[in-house]
Amino acid sequence: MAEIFVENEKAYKRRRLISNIVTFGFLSLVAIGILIPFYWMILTSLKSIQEIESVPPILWLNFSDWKITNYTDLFLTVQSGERAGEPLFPFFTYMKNTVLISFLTTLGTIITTILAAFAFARLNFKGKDTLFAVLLATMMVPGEIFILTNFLTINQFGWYDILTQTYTEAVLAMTIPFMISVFYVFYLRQTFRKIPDELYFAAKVDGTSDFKYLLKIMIPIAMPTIVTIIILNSMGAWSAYIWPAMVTTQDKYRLVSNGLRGAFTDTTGRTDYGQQMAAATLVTVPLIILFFTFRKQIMRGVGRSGIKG
Amino acid sequence: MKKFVLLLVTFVIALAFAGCVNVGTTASTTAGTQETTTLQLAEELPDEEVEITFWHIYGTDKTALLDQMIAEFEAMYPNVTITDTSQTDYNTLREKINMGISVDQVPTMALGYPDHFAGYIEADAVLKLDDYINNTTEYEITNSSSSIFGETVTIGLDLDDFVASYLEENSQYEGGYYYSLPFSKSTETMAVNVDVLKAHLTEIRAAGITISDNGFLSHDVPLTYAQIEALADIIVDTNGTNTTTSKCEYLLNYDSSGNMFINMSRQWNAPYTNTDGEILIDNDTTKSMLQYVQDLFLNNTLALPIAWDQSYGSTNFKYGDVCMSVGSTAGVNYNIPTDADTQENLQFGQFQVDFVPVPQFVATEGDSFTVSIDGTDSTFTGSLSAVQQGPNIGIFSSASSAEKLYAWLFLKYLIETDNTAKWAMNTGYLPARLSSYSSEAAIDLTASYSTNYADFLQIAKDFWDADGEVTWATTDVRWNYLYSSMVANIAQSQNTYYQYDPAFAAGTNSAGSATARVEAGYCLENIYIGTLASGSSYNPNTALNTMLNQLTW
Amino acid sequence: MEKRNNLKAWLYLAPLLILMGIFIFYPLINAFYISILEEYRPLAPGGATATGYTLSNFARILNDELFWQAIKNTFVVAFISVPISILISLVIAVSLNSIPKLKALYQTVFFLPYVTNAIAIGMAFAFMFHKDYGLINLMLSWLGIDPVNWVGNVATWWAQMGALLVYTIWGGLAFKILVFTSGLQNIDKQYYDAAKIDSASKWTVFRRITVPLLSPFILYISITSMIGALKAYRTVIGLFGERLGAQQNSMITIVAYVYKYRSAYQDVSAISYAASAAIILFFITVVFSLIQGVVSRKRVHY
Repeated sequence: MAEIFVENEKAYKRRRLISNIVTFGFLSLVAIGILIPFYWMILTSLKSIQEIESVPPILWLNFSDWKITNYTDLFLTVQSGERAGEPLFPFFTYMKNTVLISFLTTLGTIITTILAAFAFARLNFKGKDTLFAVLLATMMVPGEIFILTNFLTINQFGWYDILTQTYTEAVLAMTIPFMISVFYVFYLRQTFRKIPDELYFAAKVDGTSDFKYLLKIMIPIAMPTIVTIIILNSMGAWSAYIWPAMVTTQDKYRLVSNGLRGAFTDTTGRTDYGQQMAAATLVTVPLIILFFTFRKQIMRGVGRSGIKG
Repeated sequence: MKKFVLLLVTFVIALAFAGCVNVGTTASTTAGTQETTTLQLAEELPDEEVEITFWHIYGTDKTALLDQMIAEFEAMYPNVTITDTSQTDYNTLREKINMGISVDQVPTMALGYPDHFAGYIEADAVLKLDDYINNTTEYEITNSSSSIFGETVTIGLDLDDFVASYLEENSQYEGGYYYSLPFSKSTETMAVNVDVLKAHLTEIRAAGITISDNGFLSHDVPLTYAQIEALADIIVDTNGTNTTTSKCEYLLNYDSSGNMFINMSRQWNAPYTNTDGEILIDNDTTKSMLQYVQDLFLNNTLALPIAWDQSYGSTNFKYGDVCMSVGSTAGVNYNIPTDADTQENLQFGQFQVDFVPVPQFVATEGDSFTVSIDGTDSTFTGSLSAVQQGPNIGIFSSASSAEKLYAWLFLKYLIETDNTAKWAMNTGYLPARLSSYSSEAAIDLTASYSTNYADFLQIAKDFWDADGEVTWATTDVRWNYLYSSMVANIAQSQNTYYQYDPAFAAGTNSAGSATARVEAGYCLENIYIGTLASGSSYNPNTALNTMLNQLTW
Repeated sequence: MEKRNNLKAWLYLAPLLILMGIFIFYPLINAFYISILEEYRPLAPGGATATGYTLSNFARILNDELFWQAIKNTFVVAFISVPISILISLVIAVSLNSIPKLKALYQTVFFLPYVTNAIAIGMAFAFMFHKDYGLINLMLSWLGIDPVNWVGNVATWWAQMGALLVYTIWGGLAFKILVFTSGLQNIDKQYYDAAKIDSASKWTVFRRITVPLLSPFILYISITSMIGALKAYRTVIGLFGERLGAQQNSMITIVAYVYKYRSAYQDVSAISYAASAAIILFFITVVFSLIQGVVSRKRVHY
């Protein structure tokens, strides 16, 4: 008996080793594919214009060839004139705006999403399926079609006035229309639906209200999904471009993406990609830190008990 | 299914409430309906607090000079505040103004291309400037805190001082009124690889082309396409660039295929578009022109940047794949090979670059020229033409009379002689005013180097006079401005035959002039691709048809 | 879900629906409206005008060769990229879940596409697909395959589509992996322990346990990525620029078609036409969502 057990153990170990090698090999291969563009961004951020143009492309730069000025130039200040002392590229202002917009939009989105997902997953009401289908269909319409009408609406609300727009109004105009996401309602609904009905009925028997049940039971259980939504949604503000440019009247209200697009283009319309990528890399750093910080929350297993398969 | 019908009904009901469009009115072309009554200006310069918003697209690093001019203007008129804002790019700028027009949220004044203004004019939103230009009112500055206290300011503007084609561009709209004035102007010039030319001096001279001992072509007389074809015979090696024989794979690259189409149409007197928005490209002259161009593509005389899958040809000019390259004056320095380039890429090393006028078909306006198309000689009447590009500034009509007046004064200040010269030197744009060429106003180009426009132009002249053999020290600051100075001189020599592109906004059945330019570029690119790939369905006829289909419907 | 509770449900939905009403349904209805206007001139002096109602915009689109090219491209992108990317990301998520070490590192790496600058991604892919110096052709050469002109100006339609598909699949991986890994956390370990006792093969476990238990997430991902694929636009711009293909418009998609009339024509006058195209797109999706809904009702395990 004992010998057989040892044999099995050995075979098992060997099999596991092989399977581990295969798994790591596969993951590493994909990881390399994933990393290339990211590496390219950092590499480009350290190149001069001539190096970027070089054919064949330069794949590796020695430390001594790094064009650090692509980064340091971002923090130069205007030397003379009315704006003397102000930064050439108002990196920190853009960052501050972006973080604020990102935070508010995400907060709004998560509230509307949780409430709606709860209704769709847990409550029973007339026209539920139709409504859900309609909401899904709206995801399909390209956003640019909405811009004209939404711009007029924002103006109706008094949030867009060339002379008097305040920071608050600009922030409202940039956030309120984006506090909705059918995409995430759908996602969260899928998670909510996996929570067993027994929990709900048990809570009902105890006299727990729906809202309390949502708050105390469902949200904690669905936390990984919610954190995922939070992270993904906060990225949105980093790439939003057209709308923020549309509804802000002043440069100092704008977001990083607007700055990235506008600041590094010369009079011929050519872009200084090196400097643009340097700024892009700097902007990416907080996002990676954010992901890394919350990674555990996303990946943490939910409490084992009571989760239906 | 029932639900779906219900849904549809809901939508139809909702439609009834949607928007506030005046349906049923006949769409009339109401452009330029502004009353033509003479402008009545106040007796005294208004002294109320006036706030002027000016929208442009210049990034923070380029606005230093603009800010300085604003500060100077505000010191002259202490009751005026000017807020300038960059709207990041032309599309955003234009769309914000278009949307803003319907809710009365437009800036006091804005930068824009002629087709932008054509659109604003259709909405009756831009101010006709003729009333100010021709006004004879004078004001004495009585505000003691003004920097020009006691001086007299005039409202009128002397248009004779402006480059003629800029004026035509800004008054091409219905009624021939000025709705904008030129601000940042550029054109195209041709970069030349002097080292390659120098290696073929005898052959080039034998072909009847004037060239200096060091390989410099004429800077006043443009090459003709007949000469270009002769040069191609001498310089092009279709097998690839060869440094031993000093030959390039292609002769001449044209950066902007859109400009090439438009400018060549002009040079051939081939109808293109007009200010009414009509697309006129479906004609025999245009077809002949495209066939001729295709022939030049086929024998490597002409190339487009897509030959190298690039957007611009400057890199491949530096690398020696092509020996001449037509590009915007604003992008001069991209053509110069330097230490910063990867040296093994530079097939001809760090060769000498020169700039000359863009090639023409005729030497004088109205001459005829003969070209061989598919082996048959055809004769056409030619015109001289070089493209002019760059934005203008206009004022919106919704502003109050005081705002309009000060906006006008500010516009006038921005384009006055010295400021125009400063702006040109600072940005690389070309002066819109003739007097700016002799302006004495100096500008600090670097912390230690200050110059005025005449001296700036002199840098290239000195260089050319010495046939490139100047004795400047390597640290001489003039080296930094040599090439900018070259193109500024070439631009000046071309400014008698600049041509503007007719501007019009999109109608309900046809595209606007900006799209026409883009499609014109694709048309040439399609022909080019047709010459590269045997399986391609594009030839001059199909490419022209595709272009027509894209522009009208 | 025994009894109906209409009022309460609508109360929970209210915040979402109010906002959607203002910023999505209202503009959508407006787009419907604009799409049927004849000679719509939004900027006419004194307010927007139109000469009447018409369906000619729709007729024109359906008669436009370019529109059918867009339909074809879009469908090919959607039907090929969606299944492949789901399969790849599922395998990655499961593999990630099974490794004991370095999980954090890999997870972060797989998340990177989400935060990499779009322009940088475009540039990197342009390099990877370069005919002479690109990585892809280098790898093909190891396999003895001749270099392919992927995105160059004379590239064939399939070569361009291949590049576009790789780009699309790559771009969608991060999100899908994230959803699947977080979904895997919700699966009770007991199932796997049971499988281990039965000494089921990995493939069996994957097919019999992982996929069924992940089915709500697979459904979610397949619907949303189908919608995403039908909306493909940025990928085309990223790879081919405004020319929308190696040859003009050769890779045009439906959304690109809409934007072409919305922004390339840069004029609100062309908006009726763009709106009509968007509405057509809208109906195509509605149909897809309905089909997918019907199919999935039978297959998804809750």
